[in-house]
Amino acid sequence: MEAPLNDPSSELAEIVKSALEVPADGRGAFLDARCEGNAELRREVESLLAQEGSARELMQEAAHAKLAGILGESESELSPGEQLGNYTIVSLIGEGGMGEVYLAQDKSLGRQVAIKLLKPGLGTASIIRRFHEEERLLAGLVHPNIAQLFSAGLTSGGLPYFVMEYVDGPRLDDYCREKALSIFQRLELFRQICGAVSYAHRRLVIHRDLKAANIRVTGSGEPKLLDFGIAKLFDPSSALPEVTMTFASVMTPEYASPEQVRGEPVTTATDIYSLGVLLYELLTGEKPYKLDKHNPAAIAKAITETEPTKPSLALGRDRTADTKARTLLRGDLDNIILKALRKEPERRYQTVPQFSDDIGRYLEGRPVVARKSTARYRAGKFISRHKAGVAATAAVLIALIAATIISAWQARIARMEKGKAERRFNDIRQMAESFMFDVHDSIKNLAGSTPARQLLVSRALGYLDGLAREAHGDATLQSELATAYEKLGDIQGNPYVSNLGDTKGAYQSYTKALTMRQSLARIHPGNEAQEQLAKTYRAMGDILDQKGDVAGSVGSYRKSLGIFESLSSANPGNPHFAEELARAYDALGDGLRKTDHLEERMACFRKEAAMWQHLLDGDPENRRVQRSVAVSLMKLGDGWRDNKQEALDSLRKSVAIAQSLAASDPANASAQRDFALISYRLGEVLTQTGDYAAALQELPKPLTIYEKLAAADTKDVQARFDAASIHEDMAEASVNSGDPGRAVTEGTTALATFRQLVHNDAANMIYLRNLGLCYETLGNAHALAATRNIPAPERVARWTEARDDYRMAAETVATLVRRGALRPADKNLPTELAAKLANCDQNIVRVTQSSGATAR
Amino acid sequence: MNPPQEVTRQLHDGSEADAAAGASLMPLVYEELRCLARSYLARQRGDHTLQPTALVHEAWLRMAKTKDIKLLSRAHYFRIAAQAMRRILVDHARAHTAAKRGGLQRKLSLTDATELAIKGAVEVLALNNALQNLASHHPREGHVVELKFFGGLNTREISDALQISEKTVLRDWHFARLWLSRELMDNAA
Repeated sequence: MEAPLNDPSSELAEIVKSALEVPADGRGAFLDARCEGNAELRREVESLLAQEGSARELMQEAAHAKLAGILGESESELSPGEQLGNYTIVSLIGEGGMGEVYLAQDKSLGRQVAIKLLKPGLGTASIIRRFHEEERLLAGLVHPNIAQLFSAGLTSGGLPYFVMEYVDGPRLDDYCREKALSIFQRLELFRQICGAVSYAHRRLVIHRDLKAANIRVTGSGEPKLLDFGIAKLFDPSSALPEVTMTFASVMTPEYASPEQVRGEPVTTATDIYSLGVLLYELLTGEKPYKLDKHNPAAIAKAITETEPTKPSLALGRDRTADTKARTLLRGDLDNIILKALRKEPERRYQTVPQFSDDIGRYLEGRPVVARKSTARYRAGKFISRHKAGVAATAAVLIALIAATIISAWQARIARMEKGKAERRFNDIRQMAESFMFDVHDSIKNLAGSTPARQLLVSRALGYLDGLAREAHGDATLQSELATAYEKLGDIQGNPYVSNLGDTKGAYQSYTKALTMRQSLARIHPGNEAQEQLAKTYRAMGDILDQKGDVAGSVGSYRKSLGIFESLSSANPGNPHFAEELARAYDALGDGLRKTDHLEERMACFRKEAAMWQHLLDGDPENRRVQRSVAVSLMKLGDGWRDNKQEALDSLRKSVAIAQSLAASDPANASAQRDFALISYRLGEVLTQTGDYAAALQELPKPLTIYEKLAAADTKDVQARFDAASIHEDMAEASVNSGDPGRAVTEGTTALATFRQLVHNDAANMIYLRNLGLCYETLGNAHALAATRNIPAPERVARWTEARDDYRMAAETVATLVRRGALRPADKNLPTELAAKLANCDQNIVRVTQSSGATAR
Repeated sequence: MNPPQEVTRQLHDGSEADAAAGASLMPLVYEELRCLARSYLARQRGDHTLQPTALVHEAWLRMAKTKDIKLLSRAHYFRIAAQAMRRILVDHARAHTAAKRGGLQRKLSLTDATELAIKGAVEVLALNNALQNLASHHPREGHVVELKFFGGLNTREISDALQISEKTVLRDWHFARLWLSRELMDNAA
């Protein structure tokens, strides 16, 4: 590596390096020897050695540190020296949830001010408008413990800012800690704060965001409250979830009152609550609740339902040694703080002075007003709490989550550091999951949650639309948004998940997702974007199918299929794309069920079945793939009209697979259900093809399973219904195979269940229809028996029973007609039943007359 | 899943194949470091104690797991990382001196929010030019500077990366500092 010394550069370098190792006083002699009269070399060496002092400064920190300095500076919106209206920016002094705070110089008044610049996305011009509406009120707040709000404006970039009195001092909590203030000193400080809040309340200004970070202590030990009245500006209506929605991203959950979380109107009682949290914190060093910041549901629950730990006990959590402090807190101070923290505003101190006075009484050793909350009261409260306000809490909870997601998104837009953004996106993804699914699912079964769920959707939609407008050119964000729209669409109306039944809204959301996916797929021809697009087409197909737009849905499924076909052929042997292709065939096949393209439909299932079979060959033990083979074969059974043999063969193969899956995992209810469903389908097709004997052999298989399921879980109505339906089918097959005895037995069993189901759920038109059909089958069974060679009186009895059953069937069908629930396929049923009734009557008359027997 | 063949082949330090692989991996390393640097810097304002070694090392760990860099030697990776770091700084500095800071009117760009302050940028560019000059006369010394200053490597790591003794690393570094200092001073004058 070392270059030969005869290279002049190397020689120079070598001499300099060696000279550096020689003490300064010996260098002259050293250079004399090494440069040997080469004056030019010597000059060169000396000029380098002359740099020794300044060179040491050079590159002290590595470039990364320099990079940090350079990039770090660009992070703030405003830089020192910049002009903002009447103010010159001096420096950045803080950064918080709302945005950045700068120290600035007021040019006309020569005083220093603090300028709070809102984060992009947090506020708009409307905040400034509201400020001007409130200006007189806010400007009128002149109190030694309140930092005055001077003015507000918009930067040329459109960001709102507030100009306020500059307070140079530490945060209240830091101050107390650093000065190691005693409990009594802290209480005195707190009473000063109460004075300021009370002053503002008298002037009709509520703070709404009281917290340690908003209170500074000046050099002379005076507390100063910051941001008075600012929170209100986020809140035009001062009511309803809307408020919390906008404000949620800046509101600190720890200080939020139950009514804020519930989205109820904010009053002076809200500030009293926050003061309670503040005092709690000042005296214990702890927050009243241990909140999991990543779990909004838990936050909301803790704030609205959980009783805070007694301050004296909270103190013990971290400072076990500090028994003196605990003794001081126990009793009156516990009661005072907990009274301020009551969930119901009306049970707190009614005014700030009352709160402050009670502390005063404590300091003077007089009895305090605050009393312990009794056990009986707490129990009563617990019960009423669980009855009321669930939907409202949910609504605000959703608002909180939405705001969090949005602010993370906005932060991403604002900053765009990729690594950070990726981490954020992971958070967002989790949040979105929780937002869209956990929250939605956790509230969907709550009575009265529909408005909350609708609010969830409309809020999410609003934010997504807003972000979508900014997402141009940002592939990652577009992709995230498309996913979010899809999730939203699912909640609105995906037929495969619990949804709000808003098919139209779901369609619109999917359309938005689709547009993004299309443009992403155009820009990024890679597999990923293509696959996403294909999946979105499939979801679109589902919703169009749900809407009844058969052509649209089939078209969408075809597009999805086309993409998966090319992905699969471009990636031969890739099992993932092969699976997706099989699913695409499945979707198209299902989509075609409402058309008359039966042959194409069967072709789809044929290809699907072959693909699953192929996948299974490569992975023979895979139960999931085995099941897919079975399901696709079952669907081929639908082609029995054209291809009876194929249909029956496929179904039999399908049953065999399902049976072995069910047998190998008896505890797996869904495997049992699969087997039941498929063998039931085989029984049905056998009935439809006229092979009643075979049907009667097949149908007991699913029957056994459904009866077992129904017995295992008496609440499993579906299993009972399915079992009854099979009995009914067996009755029908028995009639058709000429076995009226068995038909009556099966039909009677079915009837008992259907009657019970209808009795329990009179509004269920499916139960009612089956009841009607069951009566008809029983009628058919009796009518068949009546045609047998039996004595005349018995024959009359059979006809009579048949007539009674037909009459019941006719009445049931009439109910369906009255309720507008008669299916188009059943439209001839009333006439048919009327004809059957007439036939019974005629036969009764005929047999009676010819035999002389008496009809009942 | 298949790493590019040219990268998976033997990557001995200093070999031709290594150099070729290095060239092809440069964009990867560049991108990784750039992202990482930004994310580090974005964490906390006022906390500029960026650990250069941590940065390059973290990038190594991240890339070693996921990227085709797997089979590259660690020493070679550091050489590339240092070069990449240098390019990042220089690119930023160039971009910044070209586009004037927009101040308040600055619109938040969706693609690049890392606009650099002009201060520092000039310094970086000047240093870069000086380093280029140094490298043309004293290639190894130039390398040492790149690894130490841009790559954030310590003496031990530089000695591994360049296969020279630690003592040589230090001697080279001391010499290079004098040389660069004189060069920068001449240019400033």
